[in-house]
Amino acid sequence: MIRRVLNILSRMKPGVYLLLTASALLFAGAIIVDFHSDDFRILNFTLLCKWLALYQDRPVLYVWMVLLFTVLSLLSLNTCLCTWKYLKNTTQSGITMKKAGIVLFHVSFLVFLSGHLFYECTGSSESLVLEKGSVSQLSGAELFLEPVMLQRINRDLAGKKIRMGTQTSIIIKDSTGEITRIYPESMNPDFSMGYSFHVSMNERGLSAEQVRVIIRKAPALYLFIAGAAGIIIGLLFLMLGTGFFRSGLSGRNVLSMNGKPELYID
Amino acid sequence: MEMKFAFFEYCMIVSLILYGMSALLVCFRAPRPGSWLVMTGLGVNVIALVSIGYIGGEWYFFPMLDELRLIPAIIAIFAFAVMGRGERRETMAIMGMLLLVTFIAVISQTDPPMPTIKSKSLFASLFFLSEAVSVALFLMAGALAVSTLLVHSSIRKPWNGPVLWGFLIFTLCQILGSLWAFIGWSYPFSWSPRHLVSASIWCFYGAAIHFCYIRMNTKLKALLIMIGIIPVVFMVYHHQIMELLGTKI
Repeated sequence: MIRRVLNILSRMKPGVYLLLTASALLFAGAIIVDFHSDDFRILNFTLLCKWLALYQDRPVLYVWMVLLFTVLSLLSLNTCLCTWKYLKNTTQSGITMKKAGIVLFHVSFLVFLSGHLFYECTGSSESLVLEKGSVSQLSGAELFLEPVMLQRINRDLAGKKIRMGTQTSIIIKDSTGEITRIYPESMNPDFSMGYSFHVSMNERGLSAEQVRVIIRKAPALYLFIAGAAGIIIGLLFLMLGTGFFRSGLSGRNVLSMNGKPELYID
Repeated sequence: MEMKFAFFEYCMIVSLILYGMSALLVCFRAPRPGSWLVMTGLGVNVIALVSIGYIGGEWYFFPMLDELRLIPAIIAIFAFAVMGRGERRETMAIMGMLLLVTFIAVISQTDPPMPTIKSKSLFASLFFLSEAVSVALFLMAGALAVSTLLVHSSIRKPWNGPVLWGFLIFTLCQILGSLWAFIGWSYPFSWSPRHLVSASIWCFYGAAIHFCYIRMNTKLKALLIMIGIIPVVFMVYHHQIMELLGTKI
């Protein structure tokens, strides 16, 4: 039975249908989120398991997510099996740039997906309102933050005052007494002590002496970055290996038009 | 302020007329004058975009990337490229899509984006530029699929190229978007309709580029490519759709 399922999943056709199903589920999710945006906004700063515990009595909110994770898991398995099959079938005749590009793109997609999963299930995020001259502690860590400089930047645009963010200078003291000074500003985070410090663009309810800072620790981001870099390199290999730039808009060198599959044997 | 808005809106109306005349000429088998008209329309469209970037005596790049008015310009470039070279039916399909998106840009009440804090990062500009190009390609692929369905052709798959290029550019766009979201909002992916629908589009066209490797009826492939423009339209014209439905945004 397992062998039969694996045999089916090692073909490209189920992969295509799984991608289409994932697309439909994500679209349905987008519509659901459109009507419940406040409930889902919390998820951006909370771990998935904690969020699910909060909303376990409201299945409409998360059933599509459970289905999506199932489909994506099957898709990952399908991508693994197909890539392995492709490697086995084609590398005997040597490795070309095109083949390397195809393999790298699919492997990077898996890395990117796993990065996503870890990102939703690990790490920490905290939003703190810091006041100039007073010290705040980051919960769960022996870190003390004190903003020493705060400057709101505004721009006058055709008589309209446009907010261009906040510049800050924050002193951080850890449990050993070591002091670090960081300079995060809106749209320009600072990375220090394994955390990223972001100045929030939401300044609602803040006084001139206050700033909202998001402090995030997300080790899964490295997987994200590795996946994204792999995808870009894979695309570059694929394009160079197929003479993609010479084929113009038709993409005929990459997509076989005569019905003979180049990538996998279905 | 209002003078400026009136100017770019006026330019978009002129573009629509020129694109419309060009489509008529293509219809009457005169692609050469048609291509000149589409080029002129593109010029006026570009003037509209440049004028949007002129705010308070200074030029700003970010507002010029207003997707609503940029997408017609990108489709016009492709329409000019295929005019007289590609099949007439396919050129007509692209011209039809060009007229539709320009018409939406003309009737839409949406203001162009302002150079606010969100536009401070270069990733923002690159993200919107790559998204506009990929969306234009996806919409063209959808139009080409409709033209294939209408003539019951089972041999040609003219949407292959736009889907492939669109997917590649959209992949880069998603990476740029993740970087922008991370430096601006602290998360590379947000549980918002915009991000989810982008992921939906990526998955859909990821499947679509594999269509030519699996055995599937060409009509079904064309139908799927046509359906694929639903999330694309939802993403780009979300504001207009909500306005039309009378829903609070």
